[in-house]
Amino acid sequence: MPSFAESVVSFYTGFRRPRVTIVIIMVLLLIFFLGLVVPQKKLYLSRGQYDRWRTDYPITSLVIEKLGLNEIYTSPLTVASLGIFFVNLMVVLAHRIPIVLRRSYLIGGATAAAGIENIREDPTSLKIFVDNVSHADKTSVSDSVAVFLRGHFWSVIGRPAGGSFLAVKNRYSPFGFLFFHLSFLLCLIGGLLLHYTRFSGNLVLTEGQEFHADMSQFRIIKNDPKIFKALPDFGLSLIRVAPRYEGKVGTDLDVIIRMKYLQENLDAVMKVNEPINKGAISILAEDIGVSPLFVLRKKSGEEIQGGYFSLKILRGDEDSFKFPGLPYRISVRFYPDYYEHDGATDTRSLEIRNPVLRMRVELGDKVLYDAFRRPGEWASFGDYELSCRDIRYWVDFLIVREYGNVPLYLGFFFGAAGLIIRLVFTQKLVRVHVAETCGGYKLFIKGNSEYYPQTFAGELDGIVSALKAHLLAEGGTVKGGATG
Amino acid sequence: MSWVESLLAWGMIYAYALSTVLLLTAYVFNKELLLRYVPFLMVPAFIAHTAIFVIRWQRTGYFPANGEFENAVNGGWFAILLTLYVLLRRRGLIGLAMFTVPITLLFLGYGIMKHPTALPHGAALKSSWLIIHVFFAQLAFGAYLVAAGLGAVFLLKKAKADKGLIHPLYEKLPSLGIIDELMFKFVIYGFICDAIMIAAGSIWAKDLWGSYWSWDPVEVWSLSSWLVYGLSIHLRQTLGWRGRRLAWLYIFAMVGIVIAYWGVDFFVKNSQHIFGVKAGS
Ligand code: HEM
Repeated sequence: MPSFAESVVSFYTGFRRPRVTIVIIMVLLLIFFLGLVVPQKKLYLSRGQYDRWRTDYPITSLVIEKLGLNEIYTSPLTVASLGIFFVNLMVVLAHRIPIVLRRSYLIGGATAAAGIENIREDPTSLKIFVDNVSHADKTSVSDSVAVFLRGHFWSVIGRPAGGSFLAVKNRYSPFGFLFFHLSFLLCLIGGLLLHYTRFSGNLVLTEGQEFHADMSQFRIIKNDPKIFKALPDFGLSLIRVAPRYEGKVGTDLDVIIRMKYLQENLDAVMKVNEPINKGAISILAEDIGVSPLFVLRKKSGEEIQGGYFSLKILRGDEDSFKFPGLPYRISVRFYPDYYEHDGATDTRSLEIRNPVLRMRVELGDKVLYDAFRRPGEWASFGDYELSCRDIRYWVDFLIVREYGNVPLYLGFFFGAAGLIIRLVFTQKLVRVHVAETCGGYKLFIKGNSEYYPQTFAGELDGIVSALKAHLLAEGGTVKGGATG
Repeated sequence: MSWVESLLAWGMIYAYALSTVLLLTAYVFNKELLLRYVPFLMVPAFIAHTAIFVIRWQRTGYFPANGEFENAVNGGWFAILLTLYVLLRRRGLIGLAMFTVPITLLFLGYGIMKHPTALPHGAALKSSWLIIHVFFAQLAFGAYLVAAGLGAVFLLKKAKADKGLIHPLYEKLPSLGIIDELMFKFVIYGFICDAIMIAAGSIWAKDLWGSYWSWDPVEVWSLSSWLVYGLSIHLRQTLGWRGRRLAWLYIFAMVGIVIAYWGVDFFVKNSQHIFGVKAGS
């Protein structure tokens, strides 16, 4: 019976075998595939549609729901598989750090260079003969070869003393493996942080209104973070909304804001659906509307109520409100730049130039008032009079606060950099051995390349021809090489 | 579509169709001579292809990646460009076009039937991340397609070699080892572009939908097909797979890529990525 410690060690060594990684990736692929073919809850447009699917396929849907396959990406199966994936990744990475160091010849360079002279016996080694006119000894020849290779961006490992040495191109390429695989961990950290720190909520501000960390001002809070609950010191004022012109026509609206983030103030002009990011905060103007200031008075002239009502009436829709404590429903249509043509009413643009409101007052089913009014004009119904005294724009801001962008972007960067370092700048290796022969020196060269050894053969021929030319330039005669 | 675009589009389609016929006839009936004429059709077709791409971009003001036709034009463009690049370096590998040309042709035909005209661009598509995302997506598609084509060439040569048959058509091809490495080179090329595509896409999604990743079917499908290529690199690096098995894997992996790029709407009707369907519906 193996001891507990032995079992742990054998599990560990088994767990970091390449086959395990391959199986884990295949399991993930299977899960993703299931997510595509098994109906997913969040892909139904409405609850009704989802319920219809359940009624149409009672047994299938029951099985799918019981196994959690209809929310597969958050199911325990997926979370567990991803957990194993990342544990496997960490274990293999830790195990491979010394291998990477060795492959980059940062450790064990001497061992790697040992036994190079054996390439003399290898029939596939390329050979060059140099006579002894320009070189005093074989070290001088190998020095010259080393100089040539260094000039062509090869790293010479160890000293070329004794006539044998190793040269490597793209020596640090193995580090790309670490960078690329570590980038998954960075993306995971970024993703988890983003998920758990995400605060998002909608905040409606009227022109001139400010937000100063009073959370009750939020219309709705969509995501309440699980950690880092407090928002950073952040303030927002809606200065105004101004039309944007193309030529003379106001085509859209710009949102002019002042933002305070930590100690810094920032003025910005936003467009709808184009976010502004500052630190951990992102602000998006999701919607713009108008808030008319309605005043209600008794016929006697005594003002009894008033306030800004944020209504969705900017783009021609009708919206309604009630004064608190009063039974009247007041429906409003808004024409920012009113004009009449062919007996119909319309607005020329979204710019408030010639504002007109159509106001309808109802009590139950009974319409008490229905007519067009300009701001300042009074509408009379029952004992009351109603007027719009001012019109301001409001903006519905989506405020998002989340942390985790930095590790995520670092992950993207390291991922791309790692892939390029590892797979584009692949490592190439040349072993050189110089032996003395009668009247000169014989150079043996054996090259290899990771990934593409066959294609490298052609490249090596080119290197050896250039080396021959280099040696020739030093004087004497040089024979052999790529072609012989 | 303007008449110039129509003329170029149909000219290109006919030329690619004829190239396909020549390639197929040459390989099925061992008629090597026919292969000589293929570049005379492919090169002008590619010039017309490029012209359509440029005219469309110039006319709409946006990188043409909206709707089936534009996607076929830019996806196929990279596939043909890479094929021509390989042919320029190794004429013998012309068999590779037997894979890339007909598939490009199929997509172009499908695109021209569905949405030949420029679709209106939603705000979503007016982003420079779109250009990066689509550019690398199509480059990856082209590279993977070429890798699959080289896989097919490898299998053909290997089948002949295993039977001991000698035929000039296959003798002119580089050695099996070289084809195998070249196939892998294109996989690496596609894999890197694919990774950049996924990262750029998620940054774009953040701007557009508020989160980097939402397990949308197109996202999942792209990730899965990228993982398949990652897996294949592992199989080669760590388990020593070479040649025949990888060639088959790269041919089958194309199915996943084609679905990710064009076919997700066959499986699900509710992807955020199906801009065309949404625009039309
Ligand atoms: C549990 C997770 C993973 C582990 C333990 C792992 C492990 C490894 C190992 C040991 C190698 C060989 C390194 C070498 O011989 O130099 C490798 C290579 C590679 N892996 Fe992974 N891998 C994992 C996930 C992934 C994923 C998800 C991808 C991408 C889809 C990927 C892509 C690659 C690539 C492109 C290579 C070749 C480049 C290189 O050698 O570094 N790996 N991986």
